[in-house]
Amino acid sequence: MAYPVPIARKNLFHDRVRFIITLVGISFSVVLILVQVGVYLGMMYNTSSIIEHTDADIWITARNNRNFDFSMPFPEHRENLARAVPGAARTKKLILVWSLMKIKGGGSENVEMVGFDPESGIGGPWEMLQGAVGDVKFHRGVIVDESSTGKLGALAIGDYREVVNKKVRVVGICRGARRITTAPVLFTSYRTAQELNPWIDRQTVFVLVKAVPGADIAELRGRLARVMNLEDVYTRQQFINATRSYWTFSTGMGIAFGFTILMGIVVGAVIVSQTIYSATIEHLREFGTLKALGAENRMIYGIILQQALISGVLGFAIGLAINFAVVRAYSSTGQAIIQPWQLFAADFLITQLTCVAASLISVRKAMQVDPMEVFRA
Amino acid sequence: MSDETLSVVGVAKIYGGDGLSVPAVREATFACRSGTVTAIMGPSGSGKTTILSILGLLLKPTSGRVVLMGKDVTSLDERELPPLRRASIGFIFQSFNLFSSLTVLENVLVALQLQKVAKANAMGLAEAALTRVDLVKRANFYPRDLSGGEKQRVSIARAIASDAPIILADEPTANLDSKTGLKIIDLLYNLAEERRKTVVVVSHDLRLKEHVNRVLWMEDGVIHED
Ligand SMILES: Nc1ncnc2c1ncn2[C@@H]1O[C@H](COP(=O)(O)OP(=O)(O)O)[C@@H](O)[C@H]1O
Ligand SMILES: [Mg+2]
Repeated sequence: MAYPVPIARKNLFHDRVRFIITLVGISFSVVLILVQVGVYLGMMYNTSSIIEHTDADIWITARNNRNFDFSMPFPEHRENLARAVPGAARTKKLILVWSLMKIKGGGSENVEMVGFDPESGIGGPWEMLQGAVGDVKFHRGVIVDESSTGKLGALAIGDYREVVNKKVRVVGICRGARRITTAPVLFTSYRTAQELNPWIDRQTVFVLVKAVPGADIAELRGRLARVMNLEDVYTRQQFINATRSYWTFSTGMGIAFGFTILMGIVVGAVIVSQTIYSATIEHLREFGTLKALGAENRMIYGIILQQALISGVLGFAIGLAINFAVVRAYSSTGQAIIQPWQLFAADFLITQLTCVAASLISVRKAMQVDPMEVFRA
Repeated sequence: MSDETLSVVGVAKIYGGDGLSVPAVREATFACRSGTVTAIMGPSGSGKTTILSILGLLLKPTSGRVVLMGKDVTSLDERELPPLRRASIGFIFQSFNLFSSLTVLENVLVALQLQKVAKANAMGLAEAALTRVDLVKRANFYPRDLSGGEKQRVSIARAIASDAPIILADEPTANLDSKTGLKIIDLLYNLAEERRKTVVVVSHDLRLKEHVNRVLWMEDGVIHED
């Protein structure tokens, strides 16, 4: 027999149906928040994965370009201006161009073709499953991401495909290069990208600048911006942020995710406050009795608060377990879902705060109980 | 004089205040002694529960004084009252007011943990209290599985476990059949006698008056002795 009698726990476990409803509500909210944020962060990672895996400190783009995926080209000779700026160790050109690939059984798919410098590999794939990055030097060689097979069909090294009426040859399979646009990524050499897409002849889409070691990147960006007066100049982080904020705010994606996450919080809060409140109302006479027997107010706060926190912690634990099952199932489809520890910490706090806030309404009710209530029949 | 454990002097209670005011108790003066059962009897609405709440330090009188163990406790504030109630007063209610999610034994233990009785003593005291009301065999039952009489005996056990000198009971027999009700009153009577408890029973049930030491009559807020 436990002594002191754990009144809060016994109250919770005594009314099992209500307790289960509370736990379902909290864990539902936890799963919704964790999964939605995880999927969102996974998508955000996709938007910037190529930028993050490219060895460059500064990204130069056409003027008023707002993100990685939809960029206008500009004359490639402008690279020379950038290269001459003090503090720039080296520059590389990188092309991102939308193109069309024919599918085996007929029809075609939009692809995002990335044309990089095959000598340095800068801007190219970073995790090869088959073949080598430099193989794009072979005539019209392309590297495709393993995730592309859904749209492009099965692909193997040596396969030929047609891009805008010209044959390309698959020379490698890479991993991790997914675009949020859902278009398959086709890595190829800078020259091949221009050749397959004649409208960007003698043009580049990005100029990538590597700073000399120890250089102040912000200052270098400023110097480059003065010289590259027809283009926009971003530090790497600025370009990542610009791309992410484009997808978050200019596409409605942020609102969609934000709304779902908010719904998770609201649903959790409503269910928790409802069940805790109704449990308090039901035990109101018992709280009054405790007071008559000489319990201090703080003991009664304590019981209600404990009920909220036990529900909160257990609900979070269940939600966490379900979350990992969902993540596992989701990841097996090849989608990225990113959940840093800060997400868990924040959601744990949100859940407990919601529970405590929900219980405060009940505490108020319990404190207002008329002392003579205990004598009512 | 020393066995006058609880008394009221010129106590009045008016509900409401300005405008609509209900005088529930008028100028009540009486003392309750240890070792005796005092019954306060009268029709419904006469002010019995109000005077019991004042005796139990749950309600402040509009005027007059409450004296507990020789000490004027009328003007003690909200923070000083709970320890006093814990140490001195056990309550018994018409609707039993047991904790529905706790077992019989746990219901009794709660009264002891409120008094911060150490774990080593608590179990023995609770079992002794349950033995006194003949409910040891129901120790692990939940209130919903008890009869009315058993529930009221649990609440008596809860009231005597911590050895509070005063027991206040509001209509303790109203939810019981008459035979069970009288058994409860007799139990309280025996407790008063054998443990020198001060028992105050409020009731509108006239049959009780043969089973108590003393009867105070109450009508329209006015108390008078036989
Ligand atoms: N909280 C209250 N506010 C206003 N009037 C009340 C309150 N409680 C009781 N009364 C009134 O005071 C009178 C005495 O009530 P009560 O002490 O409950 O009587 P009894 O217990 O004898 O039935 C009744 O008229 C009742 O309506
Ligand atoms: Mg009454």
